[in-house]
Amino acid sequence: MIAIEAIKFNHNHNSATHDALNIRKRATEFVHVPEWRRFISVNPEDSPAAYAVAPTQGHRITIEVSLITDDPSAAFIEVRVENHVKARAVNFINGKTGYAAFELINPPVSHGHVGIWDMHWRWEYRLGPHHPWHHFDTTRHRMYVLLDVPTDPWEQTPYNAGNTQLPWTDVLDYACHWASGATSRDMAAALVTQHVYALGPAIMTYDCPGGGSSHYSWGNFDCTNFLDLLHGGIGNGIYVNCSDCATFVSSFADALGCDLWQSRMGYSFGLNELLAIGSNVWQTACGWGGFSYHEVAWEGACTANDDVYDACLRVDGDSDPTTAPHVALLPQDLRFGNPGDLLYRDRLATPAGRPTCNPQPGTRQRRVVI
Amino acid sequence: MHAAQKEALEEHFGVKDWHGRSESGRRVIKEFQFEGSELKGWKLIKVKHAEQEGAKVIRSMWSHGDNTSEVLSVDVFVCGSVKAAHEAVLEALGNMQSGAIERKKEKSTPGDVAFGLANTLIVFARGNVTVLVRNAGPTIAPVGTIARDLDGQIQRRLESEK
Repeated sequence: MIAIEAIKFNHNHNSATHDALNIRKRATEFVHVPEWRRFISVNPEDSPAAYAVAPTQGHRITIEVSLITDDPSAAFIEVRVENHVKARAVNFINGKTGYAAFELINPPVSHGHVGIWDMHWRWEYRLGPHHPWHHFDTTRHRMYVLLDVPTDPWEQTPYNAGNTQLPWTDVLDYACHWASGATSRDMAAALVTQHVYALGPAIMTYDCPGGGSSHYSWGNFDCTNFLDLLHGGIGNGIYVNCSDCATFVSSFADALGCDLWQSRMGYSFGLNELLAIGSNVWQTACGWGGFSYHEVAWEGACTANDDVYDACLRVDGDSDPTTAPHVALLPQDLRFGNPGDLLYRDRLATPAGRPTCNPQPGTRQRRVVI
Repeated sequence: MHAAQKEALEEHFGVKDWHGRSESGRRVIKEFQFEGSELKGWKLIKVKHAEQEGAKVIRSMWSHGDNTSEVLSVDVFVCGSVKAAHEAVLEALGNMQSGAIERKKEKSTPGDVAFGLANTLIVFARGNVTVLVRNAGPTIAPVGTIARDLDGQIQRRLESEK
């Protein structure tokens, strides 16, 4: 009998160039290395690994594999996974090989776009170059492909079970699915924005009864309860506001290697008619007339010259956003702009409200994920 | 909170008229817990304790009996002082987008100071405790009675601290 004993995908915790990133499953659960262990890892999600496109470009991706045998005559064999893991010779000593580095063939990260791949690896061995290959084991893995190393609030260091800001696979499950196929940060952020907005009204809706209050982002980002809501649980309830949506978009996009902030504008300004998340009625938010503040996912320095992503509402995208008829526009990669530019600010705020709908870059933040 | 936003809130909500004032004097509550029997007819679904800006925060979710479409979110902030509790009120208001939230001044209004929107949201402070009652489910529940019940319980606790 020959078998795979364990596989390490993240075999170098200090680098993302040749191997997988440092990750955890959720706030309460770490991803231990080796990610795949004999008898313990059964389904793809039991063996997760995340790779970033940018740092791995032009580099060989390797894994480390430990094999075992109960055949005392086994010494040198060649091992491979056809089309996935390059063949190499391994040497058994006392029935074990120890960890041996194997090179991946055309791994998902080499495709250059965001996605999730469930891999079913059929391991084969042969006794020498002129012998036939024999199947001896099958392993299953889930590979997440991100555009770059996740940015704040996500961290790569310190790498230990106590660091809850390591990227969560529970977040990547959604972020990679939502932004599947994205090849640039702007594209990934836009796709995340579209998917968050599309959660209304089935999953969540704008907090009209609560005055548009924060249910998931007051203080830290209560990602655990947001995920509970996504999974069909009660979470913190069905209502969200702009700070919540800005936090969902930026945190999930930043997990893919985007570089978005949560930042506010204001204070106290009149609104054009809009479609708040979960609503199909064009009106000033909940009929209030104005916002005391608004918050979006924002690029760069979060100024009038920077682009915003707003999953909380759709604005009127036509030549006159102050009156009907309206053409729904989800703000994504849209410059904030100055009054009269017909950019984000003009589409959100009334002509009278635009002078007090100012970027407030001093509020720029990335909420800690809990 | 961002200084410019705080300034705008202080002006809008007339902070000078109420900040730091309490009928409870210097009495303070040190601990607060939900055990499940506090809101008559409501079932405690979950409760979480945390620390936020120096306050002990108790976040709770309640369903109207077994009706999971009628859900309330009740957050209690046990602060170090009346002033800190009023800062927590401002902080709560600073996380609400609506320009329609108003100070509540009716006779039956809970707390030393309270703000709300219709009867679907209320934030009030009593002594060193700030309470935020919001809807969290699709079926909207009135929050006034619940807020008054909670206020009564907090008042009795403050009285017992004499």
